[in-house]
Amino acid sequence: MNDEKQCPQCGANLPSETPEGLCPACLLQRGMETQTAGTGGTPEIPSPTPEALAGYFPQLEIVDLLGRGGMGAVYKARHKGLDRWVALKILPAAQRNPAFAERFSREARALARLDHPNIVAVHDSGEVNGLFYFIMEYVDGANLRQVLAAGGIAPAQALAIVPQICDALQYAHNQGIVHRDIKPENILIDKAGRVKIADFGIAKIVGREARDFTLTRAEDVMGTPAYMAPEQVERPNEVDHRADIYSLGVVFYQMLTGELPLGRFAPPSRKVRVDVRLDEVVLRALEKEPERRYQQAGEVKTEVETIAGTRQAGEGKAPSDASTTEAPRPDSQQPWRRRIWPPLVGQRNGQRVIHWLAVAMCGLRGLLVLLILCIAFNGVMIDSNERFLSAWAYFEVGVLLLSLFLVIRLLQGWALPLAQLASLDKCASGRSITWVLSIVMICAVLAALTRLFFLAPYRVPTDAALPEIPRGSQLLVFKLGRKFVPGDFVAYRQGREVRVARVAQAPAHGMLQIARHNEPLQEILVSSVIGKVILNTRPERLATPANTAQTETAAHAGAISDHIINEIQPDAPASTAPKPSPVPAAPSGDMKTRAVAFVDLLAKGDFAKARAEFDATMSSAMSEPMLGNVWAQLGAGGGKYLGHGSPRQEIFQEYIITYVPCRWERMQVDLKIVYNRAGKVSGLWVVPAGSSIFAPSPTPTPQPEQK
Amino acid sequence: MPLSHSTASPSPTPSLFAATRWTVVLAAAGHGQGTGSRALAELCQSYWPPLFAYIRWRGYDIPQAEDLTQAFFEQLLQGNGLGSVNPAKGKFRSFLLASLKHFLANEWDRAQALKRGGGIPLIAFDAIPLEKRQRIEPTDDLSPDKAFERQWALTLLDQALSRLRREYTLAGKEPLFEALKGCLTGDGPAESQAQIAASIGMSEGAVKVAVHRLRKRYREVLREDIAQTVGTPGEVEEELRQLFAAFR
Repeated sequence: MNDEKQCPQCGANLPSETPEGLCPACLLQRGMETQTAGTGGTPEIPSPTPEALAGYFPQLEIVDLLGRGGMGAVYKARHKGLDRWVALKILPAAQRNPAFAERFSREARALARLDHPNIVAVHDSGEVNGLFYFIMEYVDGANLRQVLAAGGIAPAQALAIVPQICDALQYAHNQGIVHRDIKPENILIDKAGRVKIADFGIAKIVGREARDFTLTRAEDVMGTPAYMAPEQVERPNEVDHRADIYSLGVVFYQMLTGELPLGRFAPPSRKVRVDVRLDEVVLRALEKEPERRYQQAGEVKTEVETIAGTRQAGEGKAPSDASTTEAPRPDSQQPWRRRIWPPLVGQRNGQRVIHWLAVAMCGLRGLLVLLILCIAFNGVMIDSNERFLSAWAYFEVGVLLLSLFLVIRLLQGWALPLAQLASLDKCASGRSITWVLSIVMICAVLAALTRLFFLAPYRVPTDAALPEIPRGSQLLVFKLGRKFVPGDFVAYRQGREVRVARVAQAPAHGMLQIARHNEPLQEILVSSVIGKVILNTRPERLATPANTAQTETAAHAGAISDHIINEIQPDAPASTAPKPSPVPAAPSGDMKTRAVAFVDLLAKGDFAKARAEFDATMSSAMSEPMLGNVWAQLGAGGGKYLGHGSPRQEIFQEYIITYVPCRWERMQVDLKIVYNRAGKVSGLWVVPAGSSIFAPSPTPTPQPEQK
Repeated sequence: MPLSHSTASPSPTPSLFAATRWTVVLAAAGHGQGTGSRALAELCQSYWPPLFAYIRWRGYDIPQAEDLTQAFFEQLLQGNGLGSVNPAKGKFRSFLLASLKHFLANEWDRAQALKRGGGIPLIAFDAIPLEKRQRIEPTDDLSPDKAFERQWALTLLDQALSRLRREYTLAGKEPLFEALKGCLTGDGPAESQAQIAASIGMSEGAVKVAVHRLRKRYREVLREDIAQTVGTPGEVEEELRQLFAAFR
């Protein structure tokens, strides 16, 4: 059949053989339809005249018959008491049975609950002398059928009407009420342009009566078939709210094109100049299977409003103008959401498939967020007694959560019905933004990998461990550096903490000997070492002779003393064993007082005055920051200076060595102050409490004395 | 071009069908010759197109389809219980389709029946113009069931409209019918009604009334015809709906 003609009425393709040259679909429809008011001639079923009704409704002044339809007759009336116009609807005379009455009152109550600006409100309902009636809001305007007959409406107006219908439908559906008879006659538009839907649920009240009518007086009370959803036709008992959405689609199509969507109908954009994106909306609403339609009227509203809001200036686009539309199908959700969270599960050929690319994208995006957080966290605390998770641990937890999130989303997507998956798939997400994000994330992943396996930044907040790495310096640890030479600094894990230390001896048997400030030499597992410190950001390197001396792993308290002796008295024989010698001239008591005063100065932070105490020869070595540093070293225990005890003194040659025990919250140390013959401070150390130059330190292993 | 015509085959006279239901007719047929048998024969005569369409959609060519349709009706009228199909209730349409399917499933039996049966062919295929038979071409992507339904609907409408035309002719108002039949499906623009009024020499108001009466009578006729093919009057509505759905 190449030369298909189309019915001018309904647009369906006409078969080659037509009864009397007329369209069979229209003929059948005519066989079902009742007459609407105004087509002339005597009505088939007499409806009460206004005068006859007046007796039944004393509170109303019934003015005029507005119209008649399958759902009964509607009259315009004036409520005398309230002095307002109302609409009185009389339902077609039904057999008097209690079942009908009961159903009527139940539905009427349900309808009364509908309180929405786009739904004709029900004021009253009941039965009087066998007549079932509703008293409803009077809408001063016309119904959509009349508007269409008068000459149609512009697409812009249609786009303004449909959202209001959707609002009403969504509201009613939320209340569990389905209209079942959405058609232009039931859509009223008042003079202000507001849409009101009438006859909600009335189809359900009178529906079952259809079969009880005899042949010659049969009325169609099940709705106009052209607007009925297929499931309403085939399985009237299984109808749910989605049938209304189908009817809405039919009405929408009719508003746009002026024709009914029958048979193989053309999309609206190919019949009139409307936005191409509306095709998708209308077609989806008109899907034969309820699952493939929009599931909520609110979705339709969102779509239409999006399209209406982004229309080009003017009346819409030419049907074939595709350049102005970004994608042939609108997104069923807001576009930005689709790009950031694409669906993970789709469907192909009726089978559910996982979009692995989308999963990868999601995963990478999550990683990006995690990495930003971790890197922003700026490394890890070392040597803190507080329990901080390392950035690595944070990262691990984050990856776990991300995987969990992905799995949940996958399951969610899997659970969706296939039809919904198909419609989600149709959307074309913004490719460019996706790819930009992806590239950024790939870089982020690489950075993460770098951090994980090659370099790791750490920050040393509490220092105390090593003077070369003072507090607050930032380190870069090279994780692949596995060759440890004494003097190197390493970062290692101990328990849940990360610490930094100096290598004392080359590793042997899987163990590495390390030294930390004020701690005995330790042995740690080589496997617990994170890596070598290759960079220290603190610009102030303490490269002084005193410091240089400190980097030597002096194992003996005496070695330092030797050094002092050699410097001060070069001609004195170097001896490894200190020998007691006579007391110098300065009185010991005075020295002690001064030592205490010196310590107090340091504690107050008055480094200028403290510095003044130093001997001129040594002053260059003892700078203020160094004093501060020494004092800071004492803070390694995490505590505060709480005061001091009474000083001890030891005399060695011409030096008076005063030990001022300092009390800290967690540590007890001696501040060893060496006074020279002139009475000036010539040396300052922090030593373990109870140290003595004449004996090994109280701790079992000899300790390096450091500044 | 749509064929504006009346069916070549004679339609059953209204009087015969006004009160009989197909179940009764079918039951009567089995008991040999008589009114029932003739009635059934006429019923079948009217409804051969959908069966023919179904057989064609199943892939048989025209001569084969003709033979099979003949054979099917023969068997139907002989009252050879067509298997498990229960004619007691339901629609004639469904019954015919089920029977036909059953019939085609046992096609090899048909060959025997044709040789056995003989006698006068029930359906005068020769009287039907070839174009009409050729028009029922399986070109659409319809299922055979859908094709059957569609053809059934078309046949039904044909029949109803013929009856309507006959009534008007008997009343001497055939020109009126011709002029107004276009209004059966819709109102059309107002000018056309004025034109019609002018062409047949009636006032516009009279035309409106006449159109209304025509539609009303058409509905009655259509529903009566459908009532012949369904079990209870209440099923008329459903049948109409289903037939309408065949065109979607």
